[in-house]
Amino acid sequence: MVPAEDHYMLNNNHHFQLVLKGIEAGVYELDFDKKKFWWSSKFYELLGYKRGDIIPDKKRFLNEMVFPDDRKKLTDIFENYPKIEDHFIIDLRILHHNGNYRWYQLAGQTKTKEHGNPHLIGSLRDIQKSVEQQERNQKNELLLEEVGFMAKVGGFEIKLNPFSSTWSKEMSLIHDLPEDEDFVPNFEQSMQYVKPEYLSEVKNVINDALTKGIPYDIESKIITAKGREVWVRAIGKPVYDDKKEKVIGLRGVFQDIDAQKEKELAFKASVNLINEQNHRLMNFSHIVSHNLRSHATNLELTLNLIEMETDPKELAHLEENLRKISKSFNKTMEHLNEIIVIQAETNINRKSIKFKEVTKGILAALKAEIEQTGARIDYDFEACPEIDYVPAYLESILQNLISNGIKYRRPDISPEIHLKAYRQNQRIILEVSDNGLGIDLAKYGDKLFGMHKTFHDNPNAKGIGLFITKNQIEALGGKISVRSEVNKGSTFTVVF
Amino acid sequence: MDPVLLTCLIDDDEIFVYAMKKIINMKQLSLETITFDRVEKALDYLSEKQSEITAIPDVILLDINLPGEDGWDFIESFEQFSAEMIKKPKIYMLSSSANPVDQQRALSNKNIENYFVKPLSKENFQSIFGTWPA
Repeated sequence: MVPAEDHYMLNNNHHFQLVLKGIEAGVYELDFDKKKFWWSSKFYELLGYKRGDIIPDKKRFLNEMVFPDDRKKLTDIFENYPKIEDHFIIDLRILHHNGNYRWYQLAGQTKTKEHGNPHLIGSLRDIQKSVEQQERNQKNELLLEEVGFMAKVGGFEIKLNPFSSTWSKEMSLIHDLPEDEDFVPNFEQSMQYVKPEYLSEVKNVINDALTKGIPYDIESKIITAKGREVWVRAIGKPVYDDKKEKVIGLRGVFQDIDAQKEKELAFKASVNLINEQNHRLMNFSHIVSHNLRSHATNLELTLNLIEMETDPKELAHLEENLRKISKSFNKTMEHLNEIIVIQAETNINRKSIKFKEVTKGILAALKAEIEQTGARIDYDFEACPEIDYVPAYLESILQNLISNGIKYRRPDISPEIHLKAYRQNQRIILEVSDNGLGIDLAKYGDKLFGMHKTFHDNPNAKGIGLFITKNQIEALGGKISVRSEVNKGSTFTVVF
Repeated sequence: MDPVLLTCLIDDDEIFVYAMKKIINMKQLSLETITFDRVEKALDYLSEKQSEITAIPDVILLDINLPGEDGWDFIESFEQFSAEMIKKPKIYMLSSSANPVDQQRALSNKNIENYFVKPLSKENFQSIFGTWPA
């Protein structure tokens, strides 16, 4: 039986009626004693009905219309009355007339004895859209967080006047800071993670972004809270006020690009290595062709002359020349072999070698020349006594540089040669300096380490030593350079 | 073509120099031949003798690949005083290997007559000395 509409106090009040019409919420009233339930027209409408389509019934509403999982929330309120005398708001799903569950917000306030029977009065709002939106937001947020985590991308925002800054969770992770900590670094604090050599660049771009509105995209290194060095890419864009006139802040992303950057650097290094090797091989093939051709030319010429010659004395001379050609040919082949070995053996085993031991061995081998020239040779390997290197190469390099120092001495003074090894920027450096003839680098600089180039009228000079030395050093990833002054001396610097 | 009286050979390869001198003498291509194993020595000689017409070679055979200053350095220095020379020698550049870069560079230089690859052929000699007796 449908209760008379005027039984309910809400329905009786003319003002309420106006209010009910004006708001986007349904209203209900539940009379516990009489177990009666009244819905406003909007209440029906929100559930897809018209008044009269169904009869509001507490039990039926609970058991047939409220989504089973949400039923308990409401049962507690409906059944435990009057223990609950407070205001309540619950979100729950209710079966719409169209057969689908929708999200609604049900609010209520109990009314006790003063109004006669205990009542529950409240409202019903359709919150389907906002729940969907909220779900979407949560999903997006999760997705963003997940994406940020996977791509190692963090976000940051700096606001001016008053200054404030915000970091996303991933920003903290990139900096090795605990993610649960609500860390809001001020400008100076955030700058303390920038590796000092990048600090001025980072400060400059941020300053330019805030004062001149210039966006930036830079790569730099940070030192994290755990002391790790990490390559990062920071992209910043100025944020303008509503009139788009004044920069009021800075917003950007911050990405951990360490893995890519290390790969990129390794790739660049290997490209350089390949280029250098290529260059050496080109150089090498050019030299091979040139040297072999010279001998072939001489052989041909001399043989032709022998055919034409009749004078026995001249013939003897030509035969002697043939022997010389054969000897030079052999010498060239030996040199070429030596170089081929260098090209082929870049991967042979390095061993820990003591500079002092190798030097002593060389000095013993050069004893005759040292005594004959009165050369004084001293060394200082205190700062770096050892090196991991191919023993035969180190021996050859040292031998070449020391014997060059003796070979190209000034005729008027006895040679002095100093050897020194030390570390710089994680590389081992060897310096060999002499007080010899020196080299006019402006004139010969580019040819010094070439093949068959000698710069002094010296019968011992074969012009191959420095070429081999350079090849050995470069084959193992090092560099050799020289500083020199004519009649003062030379200093060769090897970066291993 | 005037007969070549003085030939200058600049090359550090003693065997090649010996053979060249022998060929030039046997074929009587030049009355006299002087040789230098270094560019610096040849330049010293030429700058010193620039006004002695009989001491200036008619032909210079210049190797490219030399220790110290090379054939190109010679050309560079030579160009600085050649205008003051009483006579202008014809310069031929010689090389053991046919290097297209060197060849191009030689042929585009107005001070260089030609570029030849060692050993010189009969035709090369003929174009340098204008003769090649049987």
